[in-house]
Amino acid sequence: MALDDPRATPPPDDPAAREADAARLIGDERLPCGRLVSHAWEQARAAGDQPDPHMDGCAFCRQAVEGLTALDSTTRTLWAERPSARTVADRVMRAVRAEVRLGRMLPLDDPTRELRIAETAAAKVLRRAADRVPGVRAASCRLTPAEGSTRVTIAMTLAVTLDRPLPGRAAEVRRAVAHAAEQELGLAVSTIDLRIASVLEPLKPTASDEPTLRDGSGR
Amino acid sequence: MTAVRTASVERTAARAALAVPGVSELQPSLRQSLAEAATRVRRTLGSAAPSPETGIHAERAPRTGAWHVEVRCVLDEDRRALDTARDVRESVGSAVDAYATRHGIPGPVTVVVTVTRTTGHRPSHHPGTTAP
Repeated sequence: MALDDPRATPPPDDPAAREADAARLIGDERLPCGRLVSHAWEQARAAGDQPDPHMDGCAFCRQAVEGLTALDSTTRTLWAERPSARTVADRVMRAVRAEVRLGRMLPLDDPTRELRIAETAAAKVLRRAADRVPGVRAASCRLTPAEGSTRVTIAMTLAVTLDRPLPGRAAEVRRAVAHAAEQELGLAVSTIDLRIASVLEPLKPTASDEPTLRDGSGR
Repeated sequence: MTAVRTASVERTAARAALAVPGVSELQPSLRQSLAEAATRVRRTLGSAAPSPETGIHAERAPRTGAWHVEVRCVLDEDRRALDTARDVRESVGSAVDAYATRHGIPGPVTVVVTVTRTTGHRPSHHPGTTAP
């Protein structure tokens, strides 16, 4: 490895630089040529100001400086990255949360029961199917697998407009959700339970196409 | 069975899964995500590339020699998830079986496919939906 520019290391009075200084990290070992590693490193950093004939001809010093240059570069990258325990913990927590968000695993409609889908993935598709019914917004969607079979129960809460009879609207949602479960996912649905949990304002001719919740809070 | 052989089986399975139409990507397991969290610093130094077997876990039962392969995948919504998952199972099963036979580590292969996410929106019209 070439010694690019050892003097690129920040001045030693910088506390951060002192912590990250490569020579400090490995201690003060003596090289076979008799020089201390720290001395060789200091000489290399000062090479432009004070030419050193020993350094030019000594393979031990050259090798040590090359190694320290690599270590210095690595240390500086790590320092910039600041992989503190908290940072690592944050990454671990993000990974764990992402796994938890998947929810339970549901069987797809296959007799081997070797094909599964995460509850969140299936719920997203089913909620979207309900949302496609005019005047309806899905508020929540939970799926529960039946014991010992591939069938799944769907429980959904809805917000709906009151401009049409609720039984007919619920039947539309049921058809839409059942169709999506079978045709988009491949789930075997045993039951679809719907609960209307809130009311949407009906569309006004001049308003946008999206109904809004009556309390104005949106979804 | 060495770890190297298992990693090769996992790479074989990953290639086979990604070749199936409708498979968008493979999703790392929690174990792989945690390993990723710990090794990300090393990658900033250019010392390691993303693992090619991400999203795959393979094991061989010591007594029976049976292979158990788990695949976690993200699917396109252009195809029914069940159909794509079946194709992944067939493709990975065949690829692992062929690899294991070729390398003298044959055994029955079981493939479990988990769909963790679907991507891309397919506008579809379902029966019975009418305007208000």
